[in-house]
Amino acid sequence: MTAPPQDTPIPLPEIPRPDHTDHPVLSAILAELHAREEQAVVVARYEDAP
Amino acid sequence: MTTHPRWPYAELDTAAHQATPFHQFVLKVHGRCNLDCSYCYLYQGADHGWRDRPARTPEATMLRTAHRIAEHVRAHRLDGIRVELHGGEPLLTGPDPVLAYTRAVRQAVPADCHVTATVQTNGTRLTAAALERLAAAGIRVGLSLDGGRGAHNARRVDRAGRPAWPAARAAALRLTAHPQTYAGILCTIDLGADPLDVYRSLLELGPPGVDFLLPHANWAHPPPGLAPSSPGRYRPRPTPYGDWLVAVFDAWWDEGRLRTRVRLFQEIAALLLGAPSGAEAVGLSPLAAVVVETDGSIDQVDSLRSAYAGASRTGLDVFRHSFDQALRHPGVAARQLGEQGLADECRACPVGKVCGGGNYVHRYAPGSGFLHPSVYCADLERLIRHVAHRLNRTVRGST
Ligand code: SF4
Repeated sequence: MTAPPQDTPIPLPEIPRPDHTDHPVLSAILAELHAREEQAVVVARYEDAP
Repeated sequence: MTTHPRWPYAELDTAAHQATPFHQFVLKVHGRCNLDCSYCYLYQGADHGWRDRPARTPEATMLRTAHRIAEHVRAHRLDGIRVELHGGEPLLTGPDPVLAYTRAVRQAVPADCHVTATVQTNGTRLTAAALERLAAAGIRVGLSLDGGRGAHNARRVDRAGRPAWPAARAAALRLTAHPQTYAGILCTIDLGADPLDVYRSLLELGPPGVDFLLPHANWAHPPPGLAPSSPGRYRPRPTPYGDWLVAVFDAWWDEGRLRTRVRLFQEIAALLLGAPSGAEAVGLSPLAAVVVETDGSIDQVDSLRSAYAGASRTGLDVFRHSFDQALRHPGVAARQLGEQGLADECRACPVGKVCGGGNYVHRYAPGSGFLHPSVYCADLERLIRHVAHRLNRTVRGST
């Protein structure tokens, strides 16, 4: 597939963070984000480490 | 002698930004590997610096590094750090050096600093006995694989051409019996492999997490499947890597339960939901990782070596320099600037806050350096827009 040129100026949707969800994968993501909120600083990890 | 590019080396004022202390220390245990993978940027690439360094980290270097880490932890009052035991192959001569290095760091840092230690291995030397000892010491184990079948791992061979897969598979299955120790699998994308076959076959190895890594490439050396061009944000543009990842994302998202964590997808979703990223592949969070080589050299991350010979070098070492001095190195500082460290195209990009220009290493062009979009620019936008679309629909349907 080729990235279509008309996509270029379109902003990403504003997606509100839900309090809860029935979607199992999203639910796991929300739980991790909740834990991340307690960190004083969020740093990017080197990708060659799991 | 290495000639570094203008940006960031000649143009960045490293005193003008607020440095983020290192939280992740990548410690080289062995400088050699028992495998001879055809695509390895460390041993098959242009940078042959490994030949001049000791094959194995001497004990004195381990102790000195541990002292420097403790100094950094105390100076910045860090309550947790990560230690990644790397190589070469860190288990080349068994688990003892990995155990010794981890022990040295844990003994040196203050008692209230938690050390998460992980060894990243090709799996071929992860015997049952080695795994038991690593697990007993609280050291996690991550595997590097190209998929969950022998055919996916055909390029991973030893020096005699024998496949690494049988031993690596046995290691993965062994790890499933140690869920506390199993850190996950790193898998570099091969466009020649079917994405769903790779994903599903990896699931059969029971990893708690998988990360799909884009092959290291840049504007001078584009990845397989992408044509060379000068740096820029081109559209239309083929997106083979974006398409590959989209196929895996849909399978993962629609699974009906969380079979495994997939770091790249989770970080993109986190960014779309307004959280900062915890990975260097996307987002604008500061990279807080540093490498110590077998001779005690303080380096930037290894993946930089895919750009040009000597790209990861700082000229510093643990015997003469502190990690705070490394924080003022232009290459380190450049990765802690957030949006300020992005090319104009990325700052103006509608997906820029999520993409963050992609992995810094993939932005390189000879001469001008790293102030460019990623060579995977169109692939990243393709994936990010797809995740945004799926996530938005799921959220709107569930709130
Ligand atoms: S932010 Fe990402 S998608 Fe946007 S121009 Fe930069 S590399 Fe390309």
